[in-house]
Amino acid sequence: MDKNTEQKIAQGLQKGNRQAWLQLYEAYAEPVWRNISRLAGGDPATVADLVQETFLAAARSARNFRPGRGTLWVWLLTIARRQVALYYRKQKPQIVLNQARQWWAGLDGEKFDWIDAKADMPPDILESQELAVLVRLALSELPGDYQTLLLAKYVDNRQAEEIAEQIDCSETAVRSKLARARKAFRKAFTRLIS
Amino acid sequence: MNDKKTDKRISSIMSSVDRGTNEPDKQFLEKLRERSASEFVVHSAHGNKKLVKTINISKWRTIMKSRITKIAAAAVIIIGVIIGIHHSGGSIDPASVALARATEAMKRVDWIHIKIPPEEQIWIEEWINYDLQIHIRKYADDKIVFENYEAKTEDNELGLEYVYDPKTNSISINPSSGRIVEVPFLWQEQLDYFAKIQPVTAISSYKSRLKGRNIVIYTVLRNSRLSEVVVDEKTDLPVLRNSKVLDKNGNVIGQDSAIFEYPHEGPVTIYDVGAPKSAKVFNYYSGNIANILEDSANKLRMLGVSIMMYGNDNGDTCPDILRELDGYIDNLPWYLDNIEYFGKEKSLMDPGTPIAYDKTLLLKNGQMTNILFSDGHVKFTNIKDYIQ
Repeated sequence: MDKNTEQKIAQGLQKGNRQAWLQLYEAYAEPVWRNISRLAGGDPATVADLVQETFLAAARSARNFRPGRGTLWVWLLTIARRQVALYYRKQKPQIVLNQARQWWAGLDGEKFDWIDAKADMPPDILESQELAVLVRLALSELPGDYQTLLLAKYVDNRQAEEIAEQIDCSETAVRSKLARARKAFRKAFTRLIS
Repeated sequence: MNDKKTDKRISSIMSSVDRGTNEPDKQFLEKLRERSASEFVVHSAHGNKKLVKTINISKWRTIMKSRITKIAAAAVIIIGVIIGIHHSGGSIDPASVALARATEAMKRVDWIHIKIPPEEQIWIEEWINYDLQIHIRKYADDKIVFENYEAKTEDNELGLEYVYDPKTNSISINPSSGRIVEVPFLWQEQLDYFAKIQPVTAISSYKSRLKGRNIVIYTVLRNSRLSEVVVDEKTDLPVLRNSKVLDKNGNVIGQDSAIFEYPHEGPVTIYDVGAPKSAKVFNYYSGNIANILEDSANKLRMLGVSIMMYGNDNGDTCPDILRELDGYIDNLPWYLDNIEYFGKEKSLMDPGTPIAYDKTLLLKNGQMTNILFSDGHVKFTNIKDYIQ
């Protein structure tokens, strides 16, 4: 979304303009769905619930949106992330986590090199649901901006320039934050499996 | 390191989150479109009962704007990118090639030692040894961060980070959070100046002599900044850099510089860089202390989730006092006794705002403790960096 449109929508939201809300919704409903689906897993009913909670919470607080605090996308993701965190709190993912931990412990190979991206992870491990669980939980422990950056860069394969525009900061800041986000992810992942 | 390969590997791991996910349910989204629009209109018409107040710019924001952060930000730009983006009129500019060559040459020496004159600088000295995997940064206030990536133990695969804090005369030992830098920070900063952030006005290079050595001086003028790098022609190593900020009449209104040395010997402990032997040592990575820290972090994460639940019911604001979390969190009395909470009037819509810390750790560790942020993440850090 270009800055002009973003600004117009933000102004519209502050005035309570329904059209502005619909424009926001059209632009971000599907991307929000995809992000929530990645963070909470693939059960469509759960994802639908979380998407609904996200947009209803956003609708309730949209009038207070302040562009100075970040873009509309970042704002929506902050709300979505909170809904996912609440979901995890209710679900108590300890059982799933324990299963994934056991699975990880039973694997052979240079596991730390895989996490450090020093060696390729075998395809059958990359395809496993347990890895998806561990990655999701590790991501869920990171600050929201790290989560957003890692998903944008490594799952959506966006360039730093595009991400910079999306979250309204410089390309240098994106690269710097990405380096820190990778470190934080590695740390969170290591903590989960140990 | 082959960054493309690394990116590809990280990407393949991260993409596992797409496993089993489903495409957006368009029918559902269509219904939600109308429902959310009605919700929006109703709430906009009534306004919000609890208005979110503006928060003063706190210290962490100031830190994000600091010179150190800028240097760290610059540090992630890789040389390949630098070379790649310096096309000027169809050819790669010579200064960028020289800087890239210099960076590669720096990896072949025993020690890199970079010094910045201390006037108005926060970060004044950096040491790197790629063979020993040691990276040291020294600050103008005498703080030292010494990272030894080879110091691996049974518990820790990543090496150790030693931080000397002159204010408390203490050294904390933590697990290191990464691997050795590809490019020295204080050199990367120069690369960043040369990078294509603003259009190049002029590039020039000329040969000269300095203390009996043949040198090449590269000069780049970018808007109001004049950057010079002096490179030893024989070794390709940088020996000096200088940046000047000019006003519109060409007068120098600010400058900084750095000196580069390549000694055969360097500091191999934090004491060799100036930390006093009298400093108290706190080891945070091993045994019991690590467990205490993890336990504290888990409790704070729980608190974070409870505050999010509270915010969800109360217009995205944090509770004024912890007692308001009654019903949202188990074992509230423990939190009342042991947590310093300062989330009053803070909004959950401002991610990264510190809202609470664990007081019990402070008793054991001086200035270091776990801090909870409004987006739910917890960081073990020096409290003075965040809370005044």
